[in-house]
Amino acid sequence: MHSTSSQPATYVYGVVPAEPFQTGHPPLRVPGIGGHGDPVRTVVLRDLAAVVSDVPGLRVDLRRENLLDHQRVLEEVLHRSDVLPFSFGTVATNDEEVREVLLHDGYDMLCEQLAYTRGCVELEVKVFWERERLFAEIAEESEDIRALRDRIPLLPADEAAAESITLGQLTEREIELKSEWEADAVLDALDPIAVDVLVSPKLSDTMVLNAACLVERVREPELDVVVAALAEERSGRMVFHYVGPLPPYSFINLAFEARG
Amino acid sequence: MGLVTGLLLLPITGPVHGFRLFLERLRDEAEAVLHDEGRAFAELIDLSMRHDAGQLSDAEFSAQEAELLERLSSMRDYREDLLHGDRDEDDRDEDERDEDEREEDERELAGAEPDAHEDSR
Amino acid sequence: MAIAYDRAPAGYDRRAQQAAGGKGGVQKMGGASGLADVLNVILEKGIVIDAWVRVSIIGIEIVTIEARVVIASVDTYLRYAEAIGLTSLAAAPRGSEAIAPPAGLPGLPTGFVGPTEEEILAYLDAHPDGVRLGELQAYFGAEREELQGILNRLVQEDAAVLDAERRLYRPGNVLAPAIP
Repeated sequence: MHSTSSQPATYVYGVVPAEPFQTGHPPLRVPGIGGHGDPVRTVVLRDLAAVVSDVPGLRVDLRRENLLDHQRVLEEVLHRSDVLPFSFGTVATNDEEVREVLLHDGYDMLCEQLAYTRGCVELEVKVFWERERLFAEIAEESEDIRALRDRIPLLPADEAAAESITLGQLTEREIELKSEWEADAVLDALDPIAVDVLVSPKLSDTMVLNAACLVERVREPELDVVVAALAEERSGRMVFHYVGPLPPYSFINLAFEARG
Repeated sequence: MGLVTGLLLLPITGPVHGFRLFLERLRDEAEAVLHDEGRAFAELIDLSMRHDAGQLSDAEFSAQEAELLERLSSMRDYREDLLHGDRDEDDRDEDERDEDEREEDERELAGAEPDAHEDSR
Repeated sequence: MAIAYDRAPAGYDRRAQQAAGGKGGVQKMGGASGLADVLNVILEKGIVIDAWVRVSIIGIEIVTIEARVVIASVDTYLRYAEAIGLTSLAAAPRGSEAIAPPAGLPGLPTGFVGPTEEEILAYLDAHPDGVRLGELQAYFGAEREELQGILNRLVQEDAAVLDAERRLYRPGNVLAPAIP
């Protein structure tokens, strides 16, 4: 790929309104990425600031420690302020580049995105089928599938193989239909509370829903209650992973073009 | 990466035709990679669940997680290469040409006849 | 470096919770225990400096969304068949806990005629904020596949619009809310 530069560079965590981080406010105490206790600081332009820290080179490895460092810095920032997060591993050449290209050139877009997400946080809702229950339900709900299932053991080997594939195809279709139906039910419950909900492609075939909710901070406790109730109703059938609050990663549309 | 040259404005209302064709050519390759990445994310979640359920020791979890993250990392690098592949090749061509020129200069200085060499592509 | 992070923002270490006899269902996670769940978000979303994004944003229908769907293969089908095969061994309780089956409402008389395109469009018009397939299914009592077919036609004719990211159908003449 690119030659690994050994020049110190600037890791960018996110963009914030400058005010809560200026003199008079306590400095950020969380250490920067890399495990060397690099201070997390801000690069300021007008009323915006980028939250940054020094890193030894342009590449940050995909390791748990680095991912957690990135997360912790943003969590700390999120306590105090709205923040537009950068994708993990975003490194600028230096502070100047951060100020001139990110903050200066991106000023209007950044302000607009901050306005759109003002006072909001993101929560992930990932729902998974309990595998055994899923197949049990499918067998229970479909006569055709039950019939085919019961017929196959009685067939000669080659026919059995072909029919098994058919059975698999029917099952796959049922999984799709069931998952969509259930996903809609969950989304319908989240809609009234969330400002917005974005659905991402499922990561596996037994996933029901892979969604990100944008919710006003003050309504987060309401969302907690709704998700807990949804999970309780589906206990034994599905598992809910509910993670947050995060800065609004999924609700930003902003990219800077890289060269070099 | 690191030398940022400009701001790309989003959202984009529709793909430029030529660019879309380029995308469709990349598609098969990219689909495979993205599919694998999706699987890696799913496996990491699964790993985490098994660890939480006590089916994996902390050490086992750490090791397997590191392996999956490594795999994810290579896939992301590959994705970038897919996109930047042409550009890197041009850079390499340039570098090699520069190096050939340098070698030629050195030989001249040393009094030998410059070798007639062809471009290596 | 020690990773120990004892202040989980609004969250719990799931194992500790379970050890303490916490309820199943859901615990809200933050920080370290939820890392796997947020990985696809922190790696793929947020602000990026990356030319790849230009490809995937523009081609997001082509490259990103379709690609993540698990590609079914003979192998997959056989796995499913095996899983279904196992269900004959377990005594299946008559679905008292299962929420309404997706294959359509039971007890529909044969010869039941589903909604027309016009009826569906009228419903969409009455709900410009967007409607989910499940809602249409419940309202019209129709089979999901049939509804899907009608909706696909409507989308092709531009009479309706599908917001794939939110899984909502809208009438074709209403602009989706502007998202930056």
